[in-house]
Amino acid sequence: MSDVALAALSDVLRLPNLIASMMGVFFGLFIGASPGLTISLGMVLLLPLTFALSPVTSFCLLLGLYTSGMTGGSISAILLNIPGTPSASATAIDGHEMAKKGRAGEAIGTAVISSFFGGMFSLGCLVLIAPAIAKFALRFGAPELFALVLLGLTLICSFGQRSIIKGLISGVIGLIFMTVGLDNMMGIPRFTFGYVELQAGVSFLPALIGLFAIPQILEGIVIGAQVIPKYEAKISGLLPRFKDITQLFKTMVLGALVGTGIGAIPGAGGPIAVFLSYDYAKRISRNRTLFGTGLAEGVAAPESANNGVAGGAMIPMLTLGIPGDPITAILLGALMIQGLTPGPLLFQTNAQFVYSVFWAFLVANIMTLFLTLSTIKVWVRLLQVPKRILLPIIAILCIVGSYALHNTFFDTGVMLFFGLLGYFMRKYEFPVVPMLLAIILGPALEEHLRISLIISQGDPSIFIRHPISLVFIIISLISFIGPLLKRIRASEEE
Amino acid sequence: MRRTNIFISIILFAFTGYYAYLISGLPARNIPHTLGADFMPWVLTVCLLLLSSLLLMKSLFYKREEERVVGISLKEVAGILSLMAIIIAYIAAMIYFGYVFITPPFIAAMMLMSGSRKLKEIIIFPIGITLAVYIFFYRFFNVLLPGGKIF
Repeated sequence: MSDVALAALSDVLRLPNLIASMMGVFFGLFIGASPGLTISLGMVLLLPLTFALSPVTSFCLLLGLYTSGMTGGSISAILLNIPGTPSASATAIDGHEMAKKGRAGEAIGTAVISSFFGGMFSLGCLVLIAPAIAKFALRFGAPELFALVLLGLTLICSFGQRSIIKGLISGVIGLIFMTVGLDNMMGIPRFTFGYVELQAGVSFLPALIGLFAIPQILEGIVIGAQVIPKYEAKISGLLPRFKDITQLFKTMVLGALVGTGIGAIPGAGGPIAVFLSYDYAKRISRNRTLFGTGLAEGVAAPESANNGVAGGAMIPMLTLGIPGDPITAILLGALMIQGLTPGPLLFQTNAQFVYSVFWAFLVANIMTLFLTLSTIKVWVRLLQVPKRILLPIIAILCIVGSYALHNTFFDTGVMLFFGLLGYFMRKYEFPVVPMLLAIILGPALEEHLRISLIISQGDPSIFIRHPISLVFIIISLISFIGPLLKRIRASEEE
Repeated sequence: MRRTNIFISIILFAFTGYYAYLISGLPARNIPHTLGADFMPWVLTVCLLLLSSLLLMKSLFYKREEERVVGISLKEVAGILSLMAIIIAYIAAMIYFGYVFITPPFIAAMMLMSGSRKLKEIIIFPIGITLAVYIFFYRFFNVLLPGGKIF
């Protein structure tokens, strides 16, 4: 093991970082297990705390939340048939059937161990693949970087969205918000309306908090909080027998493979991965007719997949600066808060930090395994925390968090603006994730586009002359036109 | 959703027009072989114009689009406005009285809005949450909380 990796390990094992990991895991389990609270929301609520932390401690906290949030989602899915997170939707199918038959402990145990397996598998992939991609990406110049950012944006805007047009509109409006502020090249203020605070541009942290948290508060108050049923039965037999685990091994490998692969594709995300892995597991199983009736394989496949997504999504985020899902987009924001630029150069200039991220992910997975199994009764009780208490806490954290960025209420105003926008976007079925990504990647997109055109003296063919950028642009076009043609064909067949 | 989408595309056209008007007012700085500060905004204007037109055309001519109406009820408007009013009042009061003194009444008001009716709950939780956030953020993580002009 290299000296850098060892130094990173000793850094992650420092007491403050272990405490941060543990806090992240506890908070993630709570967020994951609570129906209606998403991991993205948990992340944006914790982001303001990272201002005062070192980059490694911040990542220990956030990765703890990410990993355990994915696992925690299965608790309410199994016990109440209400997935705590969208990624736990497939777990509810067989998990809840197992709980109804008095095998809730076995279902949760299977979910936790499969999640651990999926997380470790994806970490292995991350460690093996990420440095190679980063090394290759070092060859990228401005045209390639522009095409890459464009690819990331179009994939998120078009892949998995109900309406491609609305996804793209959301992305373009996000980019428009990013044109606010002092133009880096010319020094000209753009759309600042005389506000000094806007000269540095729209801060992405208040925008993130607004887009993710405020709509949930508004929905909770306007529509009314979801009534969570009480789970009364006793939970026992959490640890599956070794024989049962070996029987599930094939399913767990399949789930982890699907999860890591899907996670690495920007825009695909957890919900797609879990249903795909559930479907594949059903196809290869000898007991395929028993799927849906309370089969442990039906829990192992999606749970292994959703934690596999976590490591997979970090591959493009760390190596190329392109997040795989909304959660890694927030992680990207966390990196930027710490003054670190994600992308291939991160592996050159901050190699120790990259290794620390790998170790922190490992520690988070191990902590999630042990803390979930040992504290399961606490989470079952916390499922019943009423929304009338949760909503004011979320509101306070939003206001305090957005204020803490620059210690000004202007950012709180920005947060409220994006909160209202996010609420109406959700209501009228405009996805917020493309806007979030555009807000984070917008400045890089503009910078690389303009530098490329300066290099080529205004000739746009530079993007076609460079083979790598040409490939990215072709994939961007396919990702946009492909689903569009598919939908047109499907509607014609109807 | 068709009618709603038509309405949204009209709003987007208006926004695009306003954005184009703002771009035209940006100061010019001509440096050879360098794109101006208005380049990216113009690109985005064209993109938004195209996408808004596509949304409008789809809503007008694509007959299979569902007819579901997504409107805003009076109850929803009242909920949004009252929540926003409480938050704005909270922020305004915090400028003078600071975080510690003004947060418990804000949380109590939000709890009442969320359906809490137990007096004990409305008194204990706001004080507990305020202190927990204060200790956690300010004492433990050194994150500055809003301080008032008076307190």
